[in-house]
Amino acid sequence: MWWKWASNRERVTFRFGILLAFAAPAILLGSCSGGGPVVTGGAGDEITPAQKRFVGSAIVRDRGCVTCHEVAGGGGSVGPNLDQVANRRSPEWLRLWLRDPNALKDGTKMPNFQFSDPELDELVGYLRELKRDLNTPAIMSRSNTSEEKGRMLFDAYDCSACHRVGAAGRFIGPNLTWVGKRRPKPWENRWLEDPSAMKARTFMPNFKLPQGERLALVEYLHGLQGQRNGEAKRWEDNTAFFLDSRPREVGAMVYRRFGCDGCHGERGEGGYANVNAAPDEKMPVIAAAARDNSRDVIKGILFFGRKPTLLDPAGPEPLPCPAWKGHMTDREADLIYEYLLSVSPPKKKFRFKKSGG
Amino acid sequence: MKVKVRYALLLIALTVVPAAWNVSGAQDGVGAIEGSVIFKVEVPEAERIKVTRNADVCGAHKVSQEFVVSRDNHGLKNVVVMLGGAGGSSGEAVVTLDQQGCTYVPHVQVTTKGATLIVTNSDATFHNVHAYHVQSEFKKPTLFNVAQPAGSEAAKQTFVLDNTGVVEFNCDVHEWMQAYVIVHDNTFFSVTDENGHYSIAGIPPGEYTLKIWHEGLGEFEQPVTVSVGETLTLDFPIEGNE
Repeated sequence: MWWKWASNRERVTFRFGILLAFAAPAILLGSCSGGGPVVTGGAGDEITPAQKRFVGSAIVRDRGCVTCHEVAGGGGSVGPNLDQVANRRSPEWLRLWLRDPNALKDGTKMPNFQFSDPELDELVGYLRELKRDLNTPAIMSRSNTSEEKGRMLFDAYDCSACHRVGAAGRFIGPNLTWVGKRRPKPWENRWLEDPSAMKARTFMPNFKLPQGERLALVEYLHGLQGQRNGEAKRWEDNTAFFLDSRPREVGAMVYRRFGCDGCHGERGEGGYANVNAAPDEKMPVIAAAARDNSRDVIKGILFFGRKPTLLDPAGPEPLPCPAWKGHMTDREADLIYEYLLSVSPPKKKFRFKKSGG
Repeated sequence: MKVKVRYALLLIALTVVPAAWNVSGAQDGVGAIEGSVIFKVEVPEAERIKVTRNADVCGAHKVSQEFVVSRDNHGLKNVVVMLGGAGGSSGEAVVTLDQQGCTYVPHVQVTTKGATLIVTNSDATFHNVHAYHVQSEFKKPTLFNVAQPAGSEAAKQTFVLDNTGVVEFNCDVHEWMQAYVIVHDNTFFSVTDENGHYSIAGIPPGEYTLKIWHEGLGEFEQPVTVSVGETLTLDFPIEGNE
């Protein structure tokens, strides 16, 4: 039943992780590595003194950080790899996160450990020591194409810590395997320039990228059109084959692979703003879509797309739901429908009646 | 004969008046509302949930607490009945939520805005307490998410409930664990008992909105008029949704 484990891995390791986080961190240090999405950071390198200090410190051991996080090639896959986290997040941000994770990301699985101020200082200090110097100017001075530079920058910043491309990376942010089809280049450019200007309270950091780096990343992202990731697609399809009896879980993977979560949220709860889209300039909530519509209606939208009604007919064109026909198989559309059905709140079976009525 | 009749009248007066007093909550210048929430359709069978981890602490099975219905009179437990529009009051109320055998105790309770909530873990296993502020069917932002390792200092924690509304509690380790604390803006509220019965006493006369909430039924409202010395009886039948 390895496949069952694989499909549930994130959830299972997490629960397992918090269960044992306080009980037996020492045992877990050696036993929780391997498997899971491959994340760069220290790969192929010697274990640095900073990594040794981090993994060996009393606070990291006692709170069981590596039951959920990977460091120096070992650890869990529930949270992101921490080797390069300080290249993505400021010390101030890391401190705020550790103090109260949910204040920065609503609904996160990371519980509040109620660290004291000295503990926070200690942890942030370790994380800052961990990171390597990225030397992005060296990447930018190479003679390869802008798109290739973008891919190298993507790896250098370890964007896979949150984003998935093909079979690699995590599911914290939207899956980017198809982002080139979902978003025009100017949108990606604006987003990278200042994510919070487009989505208040977004979890995406502002990397304050120099313009050259930003444009290279936009080229790379625009090239991500799903069908180019032949290898990734095979991996997902194999998994889908083994998970045949659990369509809803495979559906969740397909939903994320096409990046539906990027607009509609992880469980269809809505998300991004969509300028000039009626009625409220928001991406629609689709959590109850499968409950309230037939399978054919849902698949029709997936295959042929949908353009939102304009709030102001003279205003800008809002982002449409793309037409996936030719890219999405009939089975994949069925799986997304199954997933949406699984996140739909059940119809209420009973209701109150007016007193005396 | 005459004497006998007078005596009888006196006897009636003596018995009836105190009865009327009792009904109105034995207070001057106020009224009361009471009633029952009763299933009028077939009573749903409570779902049995198989325990998949920590069965030594949690037991082998759990029974869903969504619809707790009396087999005798079909009364529904854990329905919250509140009076809306009765002015605001925030109190120093203290309420508790304990984790016992991987079940929250109590399952449903009401308190006032500003109340102190003490969450304890009496189990010999790890629980995380993930509290959500329920804003709609789709919107439940996290209020807090804390770790409560068994027997640790963190196994008792205190929170202040600043906002009115429904707070839902879940454990991410034992996913069947669920509890609700409803935070109301005044002290006029009641939760139905095993027989589906509720009562709210000591209400100043006036026009109000009676608000009803149940985890599996949602919300319902009905306007009510409370008069001095009277007890309004309002029963709420539950029917099938098509």
